[in-house]
Amino acid sequence: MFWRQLLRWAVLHVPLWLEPLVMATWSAIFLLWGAGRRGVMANLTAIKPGSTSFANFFRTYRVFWNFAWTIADMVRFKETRVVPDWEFTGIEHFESLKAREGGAIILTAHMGNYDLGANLFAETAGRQIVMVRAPETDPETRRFEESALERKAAALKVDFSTRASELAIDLLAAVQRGEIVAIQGDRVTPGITSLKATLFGKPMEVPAGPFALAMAARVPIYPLFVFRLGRRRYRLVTGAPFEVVRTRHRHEAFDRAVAEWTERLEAVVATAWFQWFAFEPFSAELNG
Amino acid sequence: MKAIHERADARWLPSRHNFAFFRLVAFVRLRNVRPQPERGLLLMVDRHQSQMENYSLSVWVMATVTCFIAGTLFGSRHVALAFALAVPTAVVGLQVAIVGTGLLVELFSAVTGVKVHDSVRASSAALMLLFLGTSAWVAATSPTWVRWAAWQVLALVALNAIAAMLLFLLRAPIARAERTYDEFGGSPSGK
Repeated sequence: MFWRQLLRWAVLHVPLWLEPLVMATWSAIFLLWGAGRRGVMANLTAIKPGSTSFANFFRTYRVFWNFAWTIADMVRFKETRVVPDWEFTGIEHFESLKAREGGAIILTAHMGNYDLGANLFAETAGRQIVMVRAPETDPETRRFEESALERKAAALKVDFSTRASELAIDLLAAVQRGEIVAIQGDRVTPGITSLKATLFGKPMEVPAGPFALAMAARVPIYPLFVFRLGRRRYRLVTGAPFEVVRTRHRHEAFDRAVAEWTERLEAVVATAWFQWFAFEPFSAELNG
Repeated sequence: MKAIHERADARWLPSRHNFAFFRLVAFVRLRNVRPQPERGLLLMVDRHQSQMENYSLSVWVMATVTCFIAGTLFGSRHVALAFALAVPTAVVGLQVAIVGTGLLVELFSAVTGVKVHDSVRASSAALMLLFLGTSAWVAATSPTWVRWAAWQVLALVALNAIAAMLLFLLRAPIARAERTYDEFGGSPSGK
């Protein structure tokens, strides 16, 4: 909570020509956050096999540096409506997603500025978008976040992944109404049904929700990632959609869809590991 | 906020830069760049949008303050040791100055009842004045090599002032150049 307020204060007071200096300093200070640092370093051992702890320590700094910029850009957008520059990769898929008459699912990851990406998408697409995210565990932080959500784009609705059963029904109804549902598919919140997957050769779990929803509503899944390219500059990468085809063998259908997703996630994380904001080991094998 | 759609060359619009020197450089580049259509690209028109400008200024301020501290506080020691001590001191000192200035702006607002609409701008002006004042003082009083670090600040400020005068003289062609992008302009959400 304190950190969120400090960040907001900084965004509203720090001269922009000193901002890189402030970011560099605070990214270094956050290296003292042991759990987060160890989590990123553990993930890097899987992403970059054979890498040394020494090199991964500095790579972790790069992750923190990018994280600092992305959350600052998000707060700036919410507080002052300052929008960064955007470029698009896979714009044909992005356009097809925008033009779709029915609903769709955006499957994304904790990469780059997913919050800002969802806001921008909601504003540019003119479509109702429901973003599902894990809630803050600290009640005060959650209240602070909820007050910040009041300043989001009008067409964006944020829902939290804790109330699994009711949310599933709400999301199914939303997709069937033609809305777009955005879900992060690289982390499982406790209490949420998961599917087994493999990432960088390590066993992990991904949320079952998006795949079950795609199967039930018969809508495509669009992998979408938001990368930070530099100061106030982002790239929105939209992949070709894939479907979770309903067959007699549900598990096989899920396995195929999960493999498709993790293959794309792995390719993206391998090239942009410095923007994967997974501060806990993604696989139980990486613990300890 | 205005956005330019699908024109990569619009990144050199002077209005995407803040300080006169960078605005002038941007204008010169804009005059010599060919139209670069880029599908899907969305460039925002905001005076603080330039990465090069903001990174350059941060590095410049940090390097200059480090020189001041190395020469003034640790000048009697070995030069390498002086710089090794000056870097962390400059980092901490600048953070204190940034936070202190931000708090002073809030205090000013609370005491006088004057609402500061743009605290970033107010803090920015106060910190720049502090930086320039320190540089002028060091340039005037230091007998050591540090005065050169201070003089380069004053020289660059003079250069920026010359750039501001040139921008004033060039205001009509600059406005014309900016207007040629109007047909690609619009809000971020559409043309």
